[in-house]
Amino acid sequence: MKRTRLLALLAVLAMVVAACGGGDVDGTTTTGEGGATTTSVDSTEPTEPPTGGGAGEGGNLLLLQWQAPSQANALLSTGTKDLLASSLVLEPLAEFNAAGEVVPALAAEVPTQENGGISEDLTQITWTLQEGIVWSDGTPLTADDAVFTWEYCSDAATGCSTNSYQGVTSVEAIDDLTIQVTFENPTPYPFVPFVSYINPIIQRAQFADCVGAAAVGCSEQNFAPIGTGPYMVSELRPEDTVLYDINPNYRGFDEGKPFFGTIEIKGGGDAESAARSVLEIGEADYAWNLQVAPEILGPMEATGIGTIFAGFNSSVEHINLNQTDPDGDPPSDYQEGNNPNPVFFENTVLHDALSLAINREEIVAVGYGPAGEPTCNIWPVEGAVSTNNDDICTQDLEAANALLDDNGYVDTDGDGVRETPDGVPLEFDYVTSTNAVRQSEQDLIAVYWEQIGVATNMRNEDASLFFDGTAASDASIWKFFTDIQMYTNSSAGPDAQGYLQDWRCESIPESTNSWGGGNVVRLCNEEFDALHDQLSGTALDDPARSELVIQLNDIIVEYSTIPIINRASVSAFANTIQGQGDLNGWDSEYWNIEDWTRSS
Amino acid sequence: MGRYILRRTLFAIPTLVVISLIIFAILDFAPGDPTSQLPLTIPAEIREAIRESLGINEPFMVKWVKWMQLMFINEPLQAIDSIFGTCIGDCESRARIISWSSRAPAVDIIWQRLPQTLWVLGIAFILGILIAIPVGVISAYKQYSAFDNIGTFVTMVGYSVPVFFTGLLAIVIFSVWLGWFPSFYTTTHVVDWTSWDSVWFQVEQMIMPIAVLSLFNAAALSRFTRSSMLDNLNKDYVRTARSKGLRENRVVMTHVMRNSLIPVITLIALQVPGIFAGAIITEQIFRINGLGQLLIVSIGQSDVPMVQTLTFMFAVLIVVFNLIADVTYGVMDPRIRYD
Repeated sequence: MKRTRLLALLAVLAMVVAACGGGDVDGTTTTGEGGATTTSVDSTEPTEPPTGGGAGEGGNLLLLQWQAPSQANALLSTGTKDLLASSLVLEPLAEFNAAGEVVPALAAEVPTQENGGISEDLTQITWTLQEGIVWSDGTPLTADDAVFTWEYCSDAATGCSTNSYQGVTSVEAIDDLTIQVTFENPTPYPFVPFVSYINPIIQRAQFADCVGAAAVGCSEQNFAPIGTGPYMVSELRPEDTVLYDINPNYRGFDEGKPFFGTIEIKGGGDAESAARSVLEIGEADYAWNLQVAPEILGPMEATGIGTIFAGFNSSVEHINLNQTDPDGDPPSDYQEGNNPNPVFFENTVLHDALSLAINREEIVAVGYGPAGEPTCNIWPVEGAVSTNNDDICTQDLEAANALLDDNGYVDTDGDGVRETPDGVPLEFDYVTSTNAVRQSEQDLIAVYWEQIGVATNMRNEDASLFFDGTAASDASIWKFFTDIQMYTNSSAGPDAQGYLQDWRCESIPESTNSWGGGNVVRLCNEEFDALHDQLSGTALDDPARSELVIQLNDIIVEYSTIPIINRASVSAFANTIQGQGDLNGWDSEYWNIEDWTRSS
Repeated sequence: MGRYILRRTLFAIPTLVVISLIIFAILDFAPGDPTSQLPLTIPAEIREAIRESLGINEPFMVKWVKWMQLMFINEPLQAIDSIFGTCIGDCESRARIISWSSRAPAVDIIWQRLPQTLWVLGIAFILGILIAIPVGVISAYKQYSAFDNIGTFVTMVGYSVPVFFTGLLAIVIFSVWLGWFPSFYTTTHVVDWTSWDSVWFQVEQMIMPIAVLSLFNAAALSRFTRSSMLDNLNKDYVRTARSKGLRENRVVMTHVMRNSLIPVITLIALQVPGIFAGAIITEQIFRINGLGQLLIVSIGQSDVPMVQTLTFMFAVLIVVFNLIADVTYGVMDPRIRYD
């Protein structure tokens, strides 16, 4: 009798849990099975009847993004993960191909000065839309939608996460297909607004009530934006899964594009488990952002069912040597309002010795593999690569030691650490973000520097504090309350002008400007600013442009910055996936997803 | 008993208010920036505009009072509306707790993730109990027998080897080498109970995480059951029962087990909130995007409203199940009376 009461209690408990578990059917319409399991994916029935001459015949494509998208509106993205999810749906006027060239997307052609698309004074660019493009809901795309996109982001209360419309004074619809963008100043490189997956065009009809403060209540629109791209979002679960259906109104549909009928982006786990799924198990077609040690990734690839792709852009892992001006005004608030140990300030000797001591090849071999190449330039992009710094790029401990000896940096007290001519020991704090690859890199560099008599106190800060722009965290890169810091930075596009602007004097973050400003290393060089002014007035087809970029690069790496590795984005594809070409480091890695196919 | 439950329930309200204030204060003082994952080329003024649009710069007390209003008035109203299809007040434009990263209502996202957490953790929990109690009882009754020794060995291994090791081992063996099961969990799979394939798909994707988790759950619980049984087996009332001439089966299964399981039931009740909180490590390894994984991701992205809502819901569950554990104790053991 008493025993039955106990069993009844257990049974009730079990029923409660089971009942909650049974709530899986949440009423949302999904496409059913998630797709690529270990069994053959090719047997999956296409969900769309192949009315478009082959479009959608490829079944499901499973993409792993271990950092899962939060929503699918690129303009409100919190990181690349959202931009990628958006890029299957929303499209810009033009995009970058894997080589970094501007290629038309929604536009009929890329405007140039020759075809009259860019005005003589470089302040206007005129785009013409391709004829006949319709949104996935069947309504036509017009120039007015681009105007709306600009209005949407011009309202600061919307909270757009793009700075591409800074310096744009107006966007006008000349007629249904013609868009005229006017800049405040001459802009020799105008391919920023409405270009690349960061700046797609959204539909006025859908987002009209989502401008400014009203943007908060628009999760429905942000989760399933109406787009012109090959796919439409059918379901989005934040930080988890996004399901897409083919867009029957896509302009390539009649030519049989895209091949895959449905797409699933699956998130969760980490880079290593995503790599394993594609390279070792073969249960997914693609895995994004695999920053995994080469000693783990290499054997996985050797299994032979998937391939690692690397896409290079301007990303450079570099070391900043604090350039706070010791006599500068105002004080930087460094260490309770005092200016720092001035040893790095415009000190080319110490910079060159530290750079010479580093074995970049070894760092690549240990931490990066295919995902990195040694570099000594902050601008490593083909076409404007400086060769003037090659002499400090290869490890030469003897030369580094000699350089320090000759300039009076000697170890006078025999503790293995050199002192400056003024007797201050060369002992520095060296900070980077917490990340397995970065810490092994830090270990190696500390050992190299030890061999030239420079001591380092290594520290690492959690990425959310290190890249905390709220001015609340004293560990943030912008405050730079330390001697040496290391991280990766990259430009938004393949042109250097906007990126190099961050090394101008007025961009130095200080307490007076709430630590805003991109000149993290605090370089202030009049020659640099003058050359940058010159670059801003030089037309795109002028050969002087790349010369100027090289000169600007050389000033940055003269004494303030030690570039180490040109980093690539690394992703893995199953060997059955074809048509993706080179991995695009400049735009969405899904930029040409309509061309992807699966071989049997 | 009724008065006791009422008193405890009323007392839970100020407790929860204080808990919410503490959670709020800790998160408010903790540094963190929801724009920290944006590219470094995004300038400070754009970052500031984003933070402003999220309402991050309001004073602490204003944020707390607003959140309390949303959590205790708007969200329950929304829940009532969505369950009964009603429309109370301005149901069209009701303010909700909005996640900073997805800009969607936090409670909706939690609701969406609850099923997979309950499926996997709930089944692992029940399976763990079903294994642990018989193993614990037999081990105790036949102390130092071969069964006890093997059981002790297995449970000690299960208890001391961490889930991130057994989980990874399971993936390497069953996914990489044998190719039997998928290494990740498809959260959008809707089980169609009429289709064998659909059910099998669900079984396949759940089998590894459940096995790993129930081994861990069962290990701790069976040790606890065993020692509790051992305590009772040597008591006077057991000798009395035997000397009365009761059959051994009845002595053990009724007298000893009933008394031994009282603390075990309490332990089980106290572990139930853990089912909802998710198993963070297991969810991460098998990519089951449940509540534990949501919490970790939200912390990483400095998504403060989501973290607040999740931690507060866990706090509510813990308070409620503590109450249930106390009440169960009274039901199970007539010697305990609260009034």
